[in-house]
Amino acid sequence: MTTSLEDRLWNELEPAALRAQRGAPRARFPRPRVRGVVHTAVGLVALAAAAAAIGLLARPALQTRESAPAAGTVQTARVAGGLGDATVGFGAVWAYDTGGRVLRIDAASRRVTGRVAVPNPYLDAAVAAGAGAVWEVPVIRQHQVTAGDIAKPVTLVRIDPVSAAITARTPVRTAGGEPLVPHGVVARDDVVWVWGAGGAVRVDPASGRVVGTIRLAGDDPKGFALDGGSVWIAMEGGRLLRFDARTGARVASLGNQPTDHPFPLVALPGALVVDDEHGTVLARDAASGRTLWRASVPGGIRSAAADGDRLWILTASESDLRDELVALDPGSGRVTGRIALPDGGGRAVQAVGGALWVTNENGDIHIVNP
Amino acid sequence: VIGLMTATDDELLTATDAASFEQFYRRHFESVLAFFARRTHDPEVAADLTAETFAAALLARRRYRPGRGRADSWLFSIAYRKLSDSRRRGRAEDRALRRLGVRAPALSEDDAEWIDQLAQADRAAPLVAELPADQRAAIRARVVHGREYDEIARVTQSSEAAVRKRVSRGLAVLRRRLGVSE
Repeated sequence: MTTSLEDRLWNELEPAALRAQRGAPRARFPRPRVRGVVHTAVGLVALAAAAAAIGLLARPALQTRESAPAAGTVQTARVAGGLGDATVGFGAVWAYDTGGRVLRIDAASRRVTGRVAVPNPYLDAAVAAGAGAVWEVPVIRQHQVTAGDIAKPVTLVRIDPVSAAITARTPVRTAGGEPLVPHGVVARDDVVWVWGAGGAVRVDPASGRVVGTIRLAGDDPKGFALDGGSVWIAMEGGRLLRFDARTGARVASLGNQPTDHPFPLVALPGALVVDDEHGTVLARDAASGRTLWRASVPGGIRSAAADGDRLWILTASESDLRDELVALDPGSGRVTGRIALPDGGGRAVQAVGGALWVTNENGDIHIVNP
Repeated sequence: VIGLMTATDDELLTATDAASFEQFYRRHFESVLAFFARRTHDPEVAADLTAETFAAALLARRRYRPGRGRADSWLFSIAYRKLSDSRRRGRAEDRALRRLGVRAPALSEDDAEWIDQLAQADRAAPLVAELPADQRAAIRARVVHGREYDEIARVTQSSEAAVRKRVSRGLAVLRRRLGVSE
């Protein structure tokens, strides 16, 4: 497939639009208004509450890029009918539009600059940037669905980041030929992994062929992380498994900690951060499995992103239906910041050029100055 | 620049820069394409008419006056005229495209398939987006993707009866909002 029809037509129209712009009087684009602003910061609760109230009542003009918004400010833009997973790469944020497209959103201008149709028979998809491309795979997270329920293998799609065109499609099967039920995709340097019920497959990004398989019987995998030469997989039953990324051989099985629902495992130097599904995040020593620290967060964990010296956790609060970003010190697990989002339905958080971008099910992107 | 995303259609059309028109174009491209796809049953003609409509909108942009009706109504009035002309002439008109020196892009098979899907989802899609999340997911899975009830139940960890109820309620809401009798 080539670039989307929408982009190709715009490529044709744009020169005419630019000619019209040059021939027109000075542009008089009016200053827009922000849709909602909420401020929250640890230690500044009263100030934040006042700022939030002012923000909601007065609806101030949107901050321009020249004048950076205050810490804790949330800017919101609707870009689709619904958004899912997101990733960062090649100067853009790539987000799954639940209408069956991957959106390329320019990180600097914050404009949608590409749309790639990715037919998806399921409800969700995962995206990853790395190994020279952007990768998308349909996702079925619920553990009741097994490979036997899938009529035909789902397809891993390779998207060229420059042209935003699909350049390869790989049926996701294990080396033995069985379909995999994907839960996610991870791309690094020269390798792409698709993981899910049944195990994980390693895909050669150049050829699009499956070149390695990790088989998992029984429990469902709930988290996956790459850490140098290791693959880490958190299992439903509580085990944290370590595999040799090159051979697929299991090299360690660490302790038992409950991880009952999908959580993006975060690999820190010497530690793995996992979710125990009870509002607690654990960091475990990568060698011994010993719990290094434990942090309480206000609700279910949706996503996580490491940003310099902070680990940001996107949580869904059941009590007030608004999501929250919680900053943790990766060394101690100490909570160092909290930012309330305007609504719920958050799906993914990504660190983008000093800001945090949160995609949500309503099709909004919340851009947060942390 | 994020202001472009939150600007109203009026603001985008009365601005004179290319970026504002691009935002307006991207905001309405899919609905205009779906409008034509639904009425022509021909992806190629639908794509040509969409290109012609936006070319005409670009040419007529300076004549747009806020306050005399909604911007999307203005755009669709152009689309209606283009559709009417094409039916009369038996081919998609390209007058505005020729004036701008623009060629409508050729379609790939994937484009054609996508346009066919758009035609089916045209009227209901914006309303589906407004449904509660559980109904929206059930409707998309059942009606848009054609999944079986038991499969949706398995995937969403619900009972089949619950899924049927969500689909039924969602469809009832859509019928009501579309003004279609039960």
